[in-house]
Amino acid sequence: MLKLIGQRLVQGAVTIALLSFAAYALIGLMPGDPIDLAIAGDPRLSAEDAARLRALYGLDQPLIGRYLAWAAGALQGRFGFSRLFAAPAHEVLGNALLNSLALLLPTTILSALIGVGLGILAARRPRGALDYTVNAIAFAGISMPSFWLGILLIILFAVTLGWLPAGGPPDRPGLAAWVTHLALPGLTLTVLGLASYARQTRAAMIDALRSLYIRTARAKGAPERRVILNHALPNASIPIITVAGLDFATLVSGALIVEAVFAWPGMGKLIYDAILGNDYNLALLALMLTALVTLVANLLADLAQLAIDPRIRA
Amino acid sequence: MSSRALGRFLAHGAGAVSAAILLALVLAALAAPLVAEVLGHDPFTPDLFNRLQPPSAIHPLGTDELGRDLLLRLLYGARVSLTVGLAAALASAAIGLAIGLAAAWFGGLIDGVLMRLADGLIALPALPLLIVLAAVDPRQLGLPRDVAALDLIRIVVIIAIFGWVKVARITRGAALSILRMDYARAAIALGASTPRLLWRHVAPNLAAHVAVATTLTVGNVILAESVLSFLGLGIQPPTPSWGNMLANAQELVFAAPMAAIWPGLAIFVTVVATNFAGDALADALDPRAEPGRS
Repeated sequence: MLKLIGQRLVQGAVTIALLSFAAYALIGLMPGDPIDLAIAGDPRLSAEDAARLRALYGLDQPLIGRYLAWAAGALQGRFGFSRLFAAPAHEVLGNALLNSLALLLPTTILSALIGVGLGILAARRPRGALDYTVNAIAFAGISMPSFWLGILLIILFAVTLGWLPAGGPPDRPGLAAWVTHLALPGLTLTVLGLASYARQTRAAMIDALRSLYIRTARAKGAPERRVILNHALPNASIPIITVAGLDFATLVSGALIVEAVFAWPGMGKLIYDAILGNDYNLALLALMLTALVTLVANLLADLAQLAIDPRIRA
Repeated sequence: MSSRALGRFLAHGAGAVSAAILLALVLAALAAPLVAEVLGHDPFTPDLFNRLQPPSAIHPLGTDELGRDLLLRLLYGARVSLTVGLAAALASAAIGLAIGLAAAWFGGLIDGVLMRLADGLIALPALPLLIVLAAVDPRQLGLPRDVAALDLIRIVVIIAIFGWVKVARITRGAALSILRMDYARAAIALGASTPRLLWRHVAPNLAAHVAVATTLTVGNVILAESVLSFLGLGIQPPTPSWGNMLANAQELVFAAPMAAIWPGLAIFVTVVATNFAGDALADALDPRAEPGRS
């Protein structure tokens, strides 16, 4: 298993390296480099000045050379300057990352708890009324465009009822403002996230409840509650965690869209603004960081399996 | 699909209903110009005197912020969204099939590289990468910009770059097990050429798996297109797509909440229907499954 973790780490590093190169090359294909923008901003800039600036920024170098220079800097913690925010890129990112995590972490926990709960309820009596209801919720969750669900919640809670703000960052300090501004984006993301937990839990629990050790536990007279929580769930949790790890990337994508709908100043909005605003350094760093968070979540899923299942520890 | 499989598909209640809904959507999209003819206006010309009208006899769903008919824009949007959905799903399936077959056939290093690439793509959040790709300037690649058809092709290509992984994995797994079967080994022993082996023995046995995966991909692709268009990176106005209609509608959500209902509902219904149809297809093509069970 240690070998597997080692493999994962190497794989993650390779993924990050390849992704950074692909992103670097693609961002170079977007309209307008920094010098074009400088020329647009100051018409008096002469051709020689432009050429001099190009050389100064290293933009006359071939792509691979520029990428290596950027990567060498990034590895030493120099991520360059953000053009849009006129600050070092990593300083701009700190806040956005915290805002995104403030949205992502509670909703991940909530959707896992609710989704696993619904899945267990559905699995207790497959093809029963409750099972069909949970299935319908889960199916709606995976088929629903996340931004539409967000807009529907805005229509209901902000436009019609007027209970919650339609979006934006907290407008005053204090926990209450955070909670009210996070409520709608959080609810949107939770509904989307719990769908795959519920489906996976249902399938894994139905499998587990069919096995011989469950029959044994019931034959010994274990109460139903104990059969489900102590005998079936730990065995069902391994496939659930696998899928949770894999689905984290989907959840991150979902969070980015939800941030766009609710104008939440997190990584999603930052990546979008940076890419459309030709803020290369910021866009690259934000992309790398998002990828890193996702890969770390995948690794945590592997470690959780290791902690739960003694068979793979051997 | 054999007639028995077709029977099983139709016996699957949700599958039949989903197929009917999808057929109705396609027909409605095809009939869009006819509807425009009947209503006597088109979905592109602004009519500023009739902005944000409630539903009426000439505007069954009302009008948008430029006075354009919402029903017509929804129908023309269906043409765009369904075309992109189908084209990108087929493109993803074609790429996935090629990569999956290559991985299974060559094995070794090629297999390793292709499947690690698939792992990497699956592990990363797709949206930021989609945004980067969508922001690439086609002129930098020597392509003309400002061509409406190019807009469609661009979206299809971008989505297919990420969409192939599922089909590739399914193809590889199925192809590996088929190549180990006696009939495939017999064909190899008889000296069948590689194209013949893949085409006559592997492909027919793969078809069911790939058909199911492709159907399920259509829904995801329609979602991806709508997200990109919603963010302003997909289909560009004035061409309507369900995604960019929602982007407009969100800005006016306080003035005209209903405008945000219809395009989203259209996406939702389409995606639910393709997902159900995919599940039903999976059951129908699997002879071991009992009819009518999901």
